[in-house]
Amino acid sequence: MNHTRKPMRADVSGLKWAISTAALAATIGGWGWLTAQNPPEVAIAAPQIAVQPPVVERQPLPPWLTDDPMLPVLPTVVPLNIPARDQVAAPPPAPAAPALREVTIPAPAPAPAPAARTRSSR
Amino acid sequence: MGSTITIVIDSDEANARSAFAGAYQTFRAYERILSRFQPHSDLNALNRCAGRGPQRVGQTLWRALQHALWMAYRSDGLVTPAVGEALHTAGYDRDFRQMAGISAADLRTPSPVPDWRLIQCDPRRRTVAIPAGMRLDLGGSAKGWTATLIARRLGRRYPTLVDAGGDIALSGPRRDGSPWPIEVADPFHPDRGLALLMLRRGGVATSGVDYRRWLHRGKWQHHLIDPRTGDPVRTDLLTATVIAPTLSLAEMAAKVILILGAESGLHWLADQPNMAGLLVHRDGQIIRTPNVDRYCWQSSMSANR
Repeated sequence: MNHTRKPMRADVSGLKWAISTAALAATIGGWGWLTAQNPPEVAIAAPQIAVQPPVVERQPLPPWLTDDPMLPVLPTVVPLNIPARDQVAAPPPAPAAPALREVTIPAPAPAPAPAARTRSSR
Repeated sequence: MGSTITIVIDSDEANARSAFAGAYQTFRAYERILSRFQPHSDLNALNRCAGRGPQRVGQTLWRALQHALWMAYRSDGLVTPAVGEALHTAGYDRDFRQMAGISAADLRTPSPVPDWRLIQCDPRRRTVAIPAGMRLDLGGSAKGWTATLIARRLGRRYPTLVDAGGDIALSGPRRDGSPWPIEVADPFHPDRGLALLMLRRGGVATSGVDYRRWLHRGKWQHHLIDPRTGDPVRTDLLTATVIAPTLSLAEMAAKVILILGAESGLHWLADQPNMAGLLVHRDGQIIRTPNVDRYCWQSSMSANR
């Protein structure tokens, strides 16, 4: 029986450290470079607005506003003598509706007997 | 006057009876003076003097003639006293009650009635001159005038109605203040009435061609002469009844309407103040002027209205 012996690997940990360090350095350097490439901020000029002071004219107040309003005098409220509930008498019962009755319409008056007749000359 | 006269006095006083008799005497006396059928009447005496110059006449004939001339004026000559000759020509030569519906007088050609303005009157001498060929007839005019006169005289004391052959004069309301009920006869049905009028005063008269007709030489004639032709009037009306302030006006107006016919008669009547008419057409149509209803009895009307 033959045993094959695995070849022994070379130690590359140093190389890994070198590559990682180089990548980190390149990233940081790129960030720095990009930051340096941003354009300077442009200052926005504020609009020149001339604000005129308002002209206020004072009108005389209308008389209805200056005079005292004519408020009606409230009448003195006199408390009603409302009788107690037990003192109120029940209203009398409504009278019964009259029964319908037959009405005889009078016959038209008969024509009076003529006192004379007008006709062609007799 | 060839008519039946009825006098109604609404009173229970004893004196009313004598007033009643006096009124009849007046009618008889006036008939003797004014009738064309009384040979010795004042009117015939005047007619016999036609063409002989002015003739003095009595007071009654004078007044009756003045009244007839006034009606001729009011009617533009359509109702004229100058129709005597035309009536004679048409065969109406005697009292209608003696004619028995037939006249044997000679039939002559009618000619227009002479102008009433040819009659000359002198009020100072009370004379009348009528031209030759003219003959006066006061017929209906004298009857209406006499009835009006009697009603007025009696009316001073009693409420009075005078019925002169169907022409009626009223002195005023009845004793209780109520109007007089007067029936308008229906010419198609003599026993029926067309309307019942309630009148207080004034007069109502009916003229018609439904009565006083006679056969003359085979031709029907009647007593209403159209003075424009001298012939009995040819009209589309059978009767005309008129209510007026006096019987004389009513009698004149009824004749005018009959002569003019329905259409022209109604136009004429519309121009007359205080008149109302009820006309009966030959075809049976009844025509009333709008104001007739004011006088007609209605079932809602009280007797004392």
